[in-house]
Order: sequence, then structure tokens, then C-alpha cells
Amino acid sequence: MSYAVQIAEMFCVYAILGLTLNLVMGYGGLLSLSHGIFFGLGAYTTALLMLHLEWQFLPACAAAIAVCSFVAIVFALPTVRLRGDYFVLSTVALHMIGYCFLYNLVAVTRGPYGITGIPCPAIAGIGIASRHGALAIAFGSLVIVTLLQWQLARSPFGRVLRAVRDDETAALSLGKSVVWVRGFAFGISGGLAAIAGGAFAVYHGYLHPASFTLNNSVLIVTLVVVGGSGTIRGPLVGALFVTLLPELLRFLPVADAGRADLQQIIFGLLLVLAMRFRPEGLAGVYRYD
Amino acid sequence: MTEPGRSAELELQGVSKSFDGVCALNCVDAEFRPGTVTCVVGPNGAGKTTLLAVSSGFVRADAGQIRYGDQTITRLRPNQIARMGIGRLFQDVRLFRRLSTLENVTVADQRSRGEHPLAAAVWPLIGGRHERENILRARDHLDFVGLADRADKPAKWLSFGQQKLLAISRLLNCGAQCMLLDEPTAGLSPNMVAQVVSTIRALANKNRTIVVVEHNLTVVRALCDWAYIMDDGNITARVRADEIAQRLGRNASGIAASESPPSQPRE
Amino acid sequence: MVQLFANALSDAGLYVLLAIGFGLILTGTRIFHIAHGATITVGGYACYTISVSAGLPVYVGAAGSVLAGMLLGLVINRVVYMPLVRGRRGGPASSFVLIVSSLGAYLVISHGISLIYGTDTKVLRPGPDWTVRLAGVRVTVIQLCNMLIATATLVGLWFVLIRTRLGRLIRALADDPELVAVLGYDVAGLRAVIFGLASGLAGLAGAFTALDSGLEPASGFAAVLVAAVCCILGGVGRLLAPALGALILGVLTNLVAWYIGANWQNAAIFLLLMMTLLVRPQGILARRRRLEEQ
Repeated sequence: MSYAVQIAEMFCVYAILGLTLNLVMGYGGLLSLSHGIFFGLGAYTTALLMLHLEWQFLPACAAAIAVCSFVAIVFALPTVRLRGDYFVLSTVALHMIGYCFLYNLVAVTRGPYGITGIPCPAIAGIGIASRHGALAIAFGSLVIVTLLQWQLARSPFGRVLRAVRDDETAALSLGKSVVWVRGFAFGISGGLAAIAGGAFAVYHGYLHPASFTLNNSVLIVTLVVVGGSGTIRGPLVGALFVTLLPELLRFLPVADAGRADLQQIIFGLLLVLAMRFRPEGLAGVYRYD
Repeated sequence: MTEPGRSAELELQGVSKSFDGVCALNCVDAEFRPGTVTCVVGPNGAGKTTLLAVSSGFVRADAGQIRYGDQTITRLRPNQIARMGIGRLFQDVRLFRRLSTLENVTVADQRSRGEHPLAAAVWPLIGGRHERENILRARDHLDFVGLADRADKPAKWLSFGQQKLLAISRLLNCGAQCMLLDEPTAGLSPNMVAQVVSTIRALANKNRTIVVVEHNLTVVRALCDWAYIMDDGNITARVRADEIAQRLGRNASGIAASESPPSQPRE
Repeated sequence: MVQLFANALSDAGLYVLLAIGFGLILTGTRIFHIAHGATITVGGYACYTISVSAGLPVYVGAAGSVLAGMLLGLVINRVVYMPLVRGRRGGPASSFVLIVSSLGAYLVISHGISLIYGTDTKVLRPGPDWTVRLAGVRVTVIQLCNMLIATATLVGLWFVLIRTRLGRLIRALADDPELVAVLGYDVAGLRAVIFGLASGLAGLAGAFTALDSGLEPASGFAAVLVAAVCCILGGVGRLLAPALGALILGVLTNLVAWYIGANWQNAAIFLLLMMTLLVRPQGILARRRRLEEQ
């Protein structure tokens, strides 16, 4: 039973990450390889606030959202004007710089030793000590993020974001500030990713930088591309896929390490095939053209 | 400061622009007054589109000044210029292809408060009325150009002529007081051409400043009050509507070719 | 301090090999070839297979690396990029599609290597480094070879690009691909040559990395990122500018390693990249003005 809970938690976390990245990718048209670091920054901020400053879970999470949004906007405003490939490279740079700090600032983050003993979350005074409770938090977060995402997509902000994606020049000619529209999208995306981090931190009770490497960012991009871009159901499908594939691979007679490689090979193949034949993914609508 | 709702004079003084050593605009002086339609005619490569591009801020002039009302707009960014009331219709239309026809028009609304993400998050609670008005207005514009039945279809499914009309109604909803139109009738059927011409005339009568780049001399004669004739980056003449035919008849052969009726729509 | 500079030069030599190939592809075909990292890895493992498993001398291994790299580059170009560049009804693919495909190709190849060879670090030279004292500075033979080969590569590439017809065509392609196609040249063939050449260099760079610091399936990604930084620093649009970027990066990494700590090298490299992208995205030796912005 706890195995199923684990899978469900992973699904919730990755669904949140996929939905938030989709705002930037599917609705905004930008490729970002930095999402993993917002996940990590959110997780570490929540954990450290709860552990050292004894904050409650909800305020700690809120603070994490604020921190991530701030970093995301400050990063995005000067960089969104860069041409496609260069913007991607700048997101990689953001991730690498962030990871370097996460790993080496041992005084704060305990670097490679990791953070252990994250306190159990308490919501409205009720402590939640079980795995099921933590799963409920993750699921609740997913529901909230999905609703927010759906709401944003339908709103005038979502409309102008898609307009900027479809034709920047025309958007400028209508008075829209392309830089702020994209900057805000990136800021919201990074901020909400922190929620996934918070849920992740309190479920596992410990954190290690190895969960937030560039590979993680690539995984999130894969799940959005394969699952579907530009819709709400796309990233949900993608998260399901990314969560279940490793489990399906368990049935193959391959060694553990080999299985991890096989998984990545499958992801890589899917990326190439998707771009060639179905860029909108399984359940998406945006074809990145 | 130009009041919203009041248009102003667009003036270019000594504007020059070169691309990679090729002179597109050579010390151009021009003025476009409110309540008039001014056409810009000339052969291909004369610099007409560059004139529009420089006036709307998409291209930075190398020299000279551009003023709109009492504001100098030479160094401003395109979206800043658009917010001052200068709208542009592109030669290659430039629709938001994946947005619906209606969304293409509603997104043009410059005063929408829901475009800020924090407002968007609580949208149903605060923004309803303004947005409803926006949608009603947009549907009116679409109705006027005959696209009302296509309101919810993706814009990329429209024919070229329909896309042109959509671009025009998008410009209308933008509330632009000064409109820079780059070949608004190219690729349209004669019916639609007449419709567009009467729309533009009506807008001018409402005191808007209209600049039209056109090849179709029939349209030019029907539409404009004044015309600038351009060649090789220079403005060679400024003529009144009735003088256009005789002036152009005497000019370079490139103009004569554009006397033929509009053929294939451009891609 | 002189020792520092010598180390920097030798590192720069390695970076040059990595960056020149990547820059050639970026400038000539406008593709951000992430899978270049996979080519580098394959080159290293080819050298390993030939030298260690088969026991042949190192220079045969290096030659094998070049060959393997070249082949892989040509295959990736043919299988992944060409169909996308040719395009379908919507026209040629966007840069997003190309870069994600490249990422996918990288994943497939590097994890394929990992599946075959395992993830442990392979060593190519079981034994101590042979060092030499030159002008009061200690360098290993490998480091010397690095610098020599890098210099030879630069000279050779300069010769090909400036003096031969092929080189002129490549430079023309970098400047204006549409014009080259319209003039009737075989653009696809030129692109294949570019990929072959650049990937051969990548294979060699892989062999050198392997000889220098051991072999791991994941090292290719870091290598291609370094290559990208060198290109952007030096300047896109100039085919030999990445060498300047390589030099700067070599000096920077060694300075940081010496004064702050080797584990902060990454942060330094990418901070420099960010500053370059924000302040002067066209690079130091840029020929074109700001085409990097919309």
C-alpha cells in the first residue's frame, strides 16, 4: 500500500511541475531547462524555514513561492528578449548556478550531506504525521495548481500570453509589453513550482541536491513535451507517463542501473519522435511552430 | 500628452534609414494630419514599408525626428508607440494564428485589467464587466466585417481576405487614433475592397489620422485626400487626390504596373 | 602563477577542440547541437575500446575516435536534423523543435553508452602521468599534446576555411544560406561536411578528455555546455572566435579553482555566460550586430 502511496505522491509532484512548466512552454512558447532548480529552491526554502526557524508548513510554503517567484522574475525580465537558443542556454546557466550554490553552500544547505529531519507539516494546528497525510497535501496542492492554471489560461493574461507566443511583432503593435508578459509567466511558473518542492520536502522528510540536477529539468521538459503542450490535461498525462514508465520497466529482466538508462533512452527516443511527428504531444495542442 | 480618444498629427522630419548600406529612407519629411487619409505610393523598394516601420517604432531611424502630437517618438519602443494610439496593419497580416477569431480581436483591447497575472488569478471576482463589454465590442467589429459566424474558429482557418479583415477589426478594437495601413486591400475581392475603403473613409471622418500604403491606384483615388509619391527612399512629391492620376502617369514604369487589378493574394 | 597559466593554456587547448566543432555547426547550420556532447563521449569510448580493450596503441585509438565521431555526427545530421530542416507543410522546423530533438538524441546516445559500458569511470592510462619540465613549469605529456593538437587544429581549420573553395562555401553558408541554395550549391552536402568535420574534432576532443581525466557516460553534457560558452564568449558569426572564448574560460576556471575552490568552477563559468548574454550576446569578436535579440 505504501508503494502505491509513493507512486501517487510522485505523480502529484510531477504533475504540478509539468503544469507550471507548461505555462512557460505550451502557453508561452519558451523552452526552459531551469524548472528543476525552482523545484529545488522551493523544497529547500520550505524545509529550512520549517527546520531552523520553526515555521508552520503553509507559511513556509508561501515564503518559498515568494522566493521562487522573485528569482524567476528577476531572471526572466532581462533574458526573455534573447533569441530562442540563447534563452534556453540562459535557463541552463540559471540551473547550473543555482545547483552549484545548493551543493556548495554547505553552511546553509548542508550540501552533499543533505537535509534530514524535516518536521511533519501541520495545517490549521493539526499535525500530519503519516505518509497518507503528506500525500493528501501533495494532492491538495495539485488540485489548487490545476485550478489556478486553468483559470490563468482562460483569463486575459492567458490570452495575451498566447498572442505573444503566436506573433510577438503583432503583440507589440497592439501595445503589449512582450517582456513583462513573458516575465510574469516565468515568474508564476517558477513560483508555483515551489509548491511541488514544499510537498516533496514534507513527504520525504529529507532533501539532497541529487534530486534537483539538470537531469531533473530535462525530465520535466520531457513530460510536458510527451504528455502534451498548451492544455491542462497534457502535463497530467505526461506526469502519469513519467511516473508509471519506471514501474513498467521493472518487469523487464534488466539490472537496476540498466533500467535507469533504458528509461532515459525511451525518453530520448520519444522526444525525437515527438518533435518529428507529433510536437503537440499525446494530449496537447501546441506544435511549437 | 496626446489625450486618449483624440488623434494628433504624425510628423517625420529628416528621417533617414539604411540597411547594410542600402538607403531605404533618405532624409524624408512628411506630415499626416488628423481627419485625413494620406496615401503613400511608389514602386517596390521605394521605402514605403520602412516609412511605416520607422513611424511605429519597429525600426530605429538613423537620423531625423518623428513626432506624434507634441511628443517625440523617435526613440520609443513599438509597444510604447502603440499605447500612444498609433496602430499598424502589416502587409503580411500577422494574426495570432492559434487564437480564435474573436480572441484576436478581444486581445487588442488596450485597457484590459485582466492582463496582469495577479488580477487574472481572481478574474471571475473582479473583471467581468469590462471583459463582457470588450467581447460585445469585438463581436460588433467582427459583425461589421462579416466574420461573426467565424468567431470561435481558429484564425488560421480563415482565407487570406478574411484574415485581412480580421486584422482590420483587430486594429479597430485597439482604439488606435492614428492608423498605419500597409496594403489593406491587397488580395481582397472587389466587394471587400469597397467595404474596406468605406470603413477607412468613415474612420477618417471620425478624425483619425490614416496613412495608407497602396499599389492599387483605383483605391488610392477613391480613398485618399493627399498622397506622397516615393521613389528610392525619397519623397518625390506631395499631391492632392485629384492630381494623383496625372502625376503618376508621368512617373517611372514601376507605377504603371500597379495599375492592374489585384491578382493572387500574397502569401 | 606561471604554473597556473600553463594549466590554463592546456585546458584552453582542450576547450578549443570542443568549441571549434560546436561553433562550426552553430555558425554554419544555425543548429544548437546539444548532441555534440554525445559525439564527444562516443569519441572517448571509441578510444577506450580500441586502446584498452583491443590493446592497440593510443594514436590508433585517437584516429578511431575521430572516425567514430565523424560517423556519428553524419548519422545524427541525416536521421534527426535533415528531416526537420527540410520541414513539412508548415515549413522548416523552429529552433525549439531542433533543440529538443538534439536533446533527445543526446539522451539516447549517452545512455546507450552507459548501458553498454556501465557508469563507472574508465581510465585510459593505468599508470602515472609522464611529466616534463619546460621553462620552470610542470606539464604532462597529455597537456602538451592538447596544446599542440589544438594549435594544429586552429591552423588547419584556418587554412581550410580561408584558402579552400570548400571553406569559402562554408563561410558563405554561415552568412546567407538562402543565397547559397539559390546559387545552386548543394546545401545539404555542405551541411553534412560541416557536421562530419566538426564531429571528427569532437571525437578527438573526447579522446583527449578521456586521456586527461577518465571517461564517464555523462561527461559529454558538461563538455558541450563548455563548448557553447566558449562560442558565445568568443563570438558567433566568426568561425575561429571560439578559440578566444576557450582561452578566457581556461584562465577563469583555473583562477577560480586556485583561489576559491574547484567546486565553484561551474558557477563561475555560467555567471560569465549570463553576463555575456545580457551585456554582449553577440560575443567579443562579433561581426554582426545583435542578431541574437528579437
